[in-house]
Amino acid sequence: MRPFTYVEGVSVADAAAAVHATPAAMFLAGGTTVVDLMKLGVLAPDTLVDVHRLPLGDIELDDRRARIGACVRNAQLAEHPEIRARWPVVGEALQSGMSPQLRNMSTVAGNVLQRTRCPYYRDPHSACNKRVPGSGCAARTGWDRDAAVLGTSPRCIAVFPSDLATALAILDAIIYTRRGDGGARRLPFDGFHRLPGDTPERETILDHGELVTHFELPDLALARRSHYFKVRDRASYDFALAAAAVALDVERGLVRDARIALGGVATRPWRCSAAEQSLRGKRAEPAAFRAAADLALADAVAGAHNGFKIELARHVITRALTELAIRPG
Amino acid sequence: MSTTSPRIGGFADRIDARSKVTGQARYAADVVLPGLAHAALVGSTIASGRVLGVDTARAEQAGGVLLVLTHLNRGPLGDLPNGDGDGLTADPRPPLADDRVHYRGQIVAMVVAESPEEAAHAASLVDVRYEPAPFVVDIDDADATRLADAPRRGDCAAALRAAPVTLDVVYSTPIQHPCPLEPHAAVAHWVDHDLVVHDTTQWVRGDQAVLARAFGLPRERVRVHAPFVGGSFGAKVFTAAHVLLAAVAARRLQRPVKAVLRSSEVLTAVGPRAATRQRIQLAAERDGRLLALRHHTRSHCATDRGVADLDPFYEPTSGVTRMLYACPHYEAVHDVVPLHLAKPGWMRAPGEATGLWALEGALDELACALHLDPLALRLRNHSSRDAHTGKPHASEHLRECYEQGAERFGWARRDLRPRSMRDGDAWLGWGMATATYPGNRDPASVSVRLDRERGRIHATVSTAGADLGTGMYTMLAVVVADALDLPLEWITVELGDTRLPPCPVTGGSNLTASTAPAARAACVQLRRRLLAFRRAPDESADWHELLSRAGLDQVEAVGTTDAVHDDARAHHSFGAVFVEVRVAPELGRIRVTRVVGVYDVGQVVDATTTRSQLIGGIVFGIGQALLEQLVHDPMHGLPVHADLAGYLLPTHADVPEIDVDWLEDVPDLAFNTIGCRGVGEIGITGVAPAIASAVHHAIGVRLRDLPLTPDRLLAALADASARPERAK
Ligand SMILES: Cc1cc2nc3c(=O)[nH]c(=O)nc-3n(C[C@H](O)[C@H](O)[C@H](O)COP(=O)(O)OP(=O)(O)OC[C@H]3O[C@@H](n4cnc5c(N)ncnc54)[C@H](O)[C@@H]3O)c2cc1C
Ligand code: SF4
Repeated sequence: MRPFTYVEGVSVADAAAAVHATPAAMFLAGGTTVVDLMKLGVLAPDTLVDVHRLPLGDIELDDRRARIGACVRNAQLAEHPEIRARWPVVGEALQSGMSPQLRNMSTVAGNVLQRTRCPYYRDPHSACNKRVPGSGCAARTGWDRDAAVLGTSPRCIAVFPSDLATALAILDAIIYTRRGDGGARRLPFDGFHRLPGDTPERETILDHGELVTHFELPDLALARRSHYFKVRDRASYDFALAAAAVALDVERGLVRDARIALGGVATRPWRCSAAEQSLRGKRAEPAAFRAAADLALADAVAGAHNGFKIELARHVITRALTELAIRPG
Repeated sequence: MSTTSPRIGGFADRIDARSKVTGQARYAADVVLPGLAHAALVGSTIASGRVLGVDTARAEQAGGVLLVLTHLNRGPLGDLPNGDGDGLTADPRPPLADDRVHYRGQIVAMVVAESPEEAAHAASLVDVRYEPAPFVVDIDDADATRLADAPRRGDCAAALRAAPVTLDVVYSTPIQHPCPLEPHAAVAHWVDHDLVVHDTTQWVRGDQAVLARAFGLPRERVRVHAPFVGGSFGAKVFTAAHVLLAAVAARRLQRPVKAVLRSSEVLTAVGPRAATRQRIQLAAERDGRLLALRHHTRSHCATDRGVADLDPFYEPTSGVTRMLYACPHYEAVHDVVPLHLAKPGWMRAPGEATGLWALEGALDELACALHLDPLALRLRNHSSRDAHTGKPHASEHLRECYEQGAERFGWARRDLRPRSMRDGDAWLGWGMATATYPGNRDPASVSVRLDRERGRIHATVSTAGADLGTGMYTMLAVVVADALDLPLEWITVELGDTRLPPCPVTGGSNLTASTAPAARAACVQLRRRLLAFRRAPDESADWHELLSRAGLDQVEAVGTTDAVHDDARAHHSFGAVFVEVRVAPELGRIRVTRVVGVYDVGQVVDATTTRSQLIGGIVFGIGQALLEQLVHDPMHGLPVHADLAGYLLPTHADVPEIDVDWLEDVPDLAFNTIGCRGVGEIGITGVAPAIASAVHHAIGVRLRDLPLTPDRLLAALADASARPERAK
């Protein structure tokens, strides 16, 4: 761990300006990603601007939307009764991940901005294009059992691990930011995370010093019937091998609209639009779900040890949709 | 005398619980001394080769840095002992001995600074240049050397050729790591040229011997403390490199030095359980009677020593396969494969946990092939003697374990056919296996002292052995309470200190069997001495009264146990474990939903701690079966998941209700005066094969490689559907 300067953010504008002004500065929220990676020597910010006490810790709700502060704790969001009723997939996704202690500590923005668990990214001595651009990708020739099968590039095959982000991907979420130069942006969640392509080190479209202030979830009828299903090595406290966030609008046995996103298998939150479309007008039954799952994985590419994820993800989608379809209410 | 004194075999409250829950118990890393300095380690980033140069200039200039040790300035250290009784080190050469690197993560420098943060930062500034050499970390990818020890009886080859039924299968286990929750830590300081060390160790006297040799001191000038150890499972037998280096630095700086390993360092530099590949060949009659068993093991070892010198640091898988079942023809061979990894050590039930994985798995396959109930097959091959030495077991009640376990589990209702139990969208399966572990006992001394204190008596029980969290404190208190009719509150137990009466390494489930009889022997002496002061043989005077009549404030006796020398009989614990799993094949998901274990461990000394040891062992077995594996990258030689977020251990959600019990009134009185054998390791044995057998029963797919992860299950299913004849 390198010595660094710690600054407590006093206002949203100051915090953004402070990071903006220092090239190697970072925001610190719950610290469960940042401090972990600093100890490993993966991140070495010279300045940490602590944002967790900024007035971004509230969940506001009305008929049209939910407005969730960037620094809301993941536990708080997961347990919020109205969020659970109107967007059940959010609470289910959060509660399927981390431990209670981590959910208490970590924030919503931090979760969506967490780093990959790729073991070579986490080892400062391994070749990793994400950590050191141009240094190579040790995962491609090494232990790629946990690597992605969708959205990979020759430069990087790392999974983006957030469960919450997978849920947000099907909810038309919007991210509000404050930039270091004082400007503000409204970013659709859909294009927020980048594909690795040639620049795996750039994970989102945020600029340096751009502070996430809020997340907005527009009221969405089908979100009330949404669900998160996750498969992992152990029964609790583990990242996804494959996970699906799904929502269904079914009328008289026929699918009117569907939403599907995959987690644990892709380099960014992975919305499966073709699969969603294929379901419209179909009977809400496992056969149609399986066909949609095949579509969702049609472009998947496996490495040496992660081929099982393709079949697993198909079953996960099918299972998530089936459980949702038979869920009463 | 008090009527509330606990009895041997009853449930006592843990006497150390309060101090642990309230944080009063001081573990090695908790020790703070005036002037304490802090060490951080630099691990090699190559897996094999040489250190060409170490640039310490930037580290030395960093804030708070006091010392940077490398192989160039470490100074002299004596040769290290490496034999039983004399202490053990992971490496026969002292740390930082020379420029050679044998595995990734080997210590190549140590920084000492005023604070842990400054030390860690400076460690990152040490610039090491290497000349890398080729290396191997894959057991399937390197040449093997055959060990000379190849036990055999009868003519295995002929029996395998002639038998009506044969089976030939390969079972594997990955590298597993004990990774106790308390990381390794040491505080070393010098007091008037004497060395005092607080260490996380299973063996204070082993540490003492190693340190004395290394620093050229008589043993009594080295004092080692380990009053509390936060789990170990074999990982804290060896005196680790950082302990020696902390002592070197403390002498150099004339200040106490603390070194605490990170979990990544524990997982790389502390020896794991060796990986194994085990080929089992069975020959049997059609009724299931075993005719021959051939066991060929390949396991890994370290590269840094001559092969002649390898023993005993390999996974001794055949210890259990040779003795367990009646079988006239037997042969075991063991090949070791040197890999560029930290030298493997012993992890809970070394040999039994792995050997039974292969043997019990193969027996389940034999039972399936013969359409026999797996339990019936075990009973058919039951042996009331050590099948290899022919010595009868002094006390053996395995049949009762099978019977009681089967009864509690409901085994009789089991349908032989796989895929016979559906539960919603998952399949249920039942499996069972035999558990066994040898009775071990080593020379130990325990002193018991009675003091007259404020009108009543107080007992102090002392021995150098370390309590790894298993319950030694409580167990010894119970023995003394029982022998002297004292309540637990009147008893203090002192452990983990070289100044206390000598005691062996806490390992091989030996400590209860070694110290409980010694403690009782001390009590018998005290009784005899004090009862002489009764006025009449039937007078009921209490100890306090007798002591004052003797004109004494204090009386002490030391009891001893010797090593086992039983040429006539064998001493083993046994058990039967029954498991139910729930399998969702398309999700690759296996969950254990029920476990019943019934054991014959001789006389139980304390039921509370015995129960937790057995349950803990079973939880360990669930981890071994479903989760644990330390994978090394073939290109870099690094452990891929060097932390507890990646090296997965069972969580509460992975562990179902576990029903354990033991046979009452089965003391092994030929083993020691109490009739107790240890309980620390038997719990893990048999669990993994029982789980795999249950998976086979659930879905008809045989998994022979641990751990049984979703990718493996999905691959096996794909394989089975591609070749349906194998899925029968
Ligand atoms: C052992 C372990 C297990 C875990 N298991 C799971 C799991 O199963 N599922 C899962 O989804 N996650 C899991 N996580 C990851 C966890 O969810 C994240 O670490 C956490 O959500 C990060 O939140 P934080 O507030 O601590 O972020 P920090 O660590 O403080 O920050 C994370 C990143 O976000 C940036 N940042 C934070 N706030 C802002 C802001 N307002 N604007 C701009 N940038 C910001 C920081 O600069 C940093 O780059 C696990 C983590 C650990 C350590
Ligand atoms: S997969 Fe991506 S994160 Fe992992 S080593 Fe390759 S470049 Fe780095």
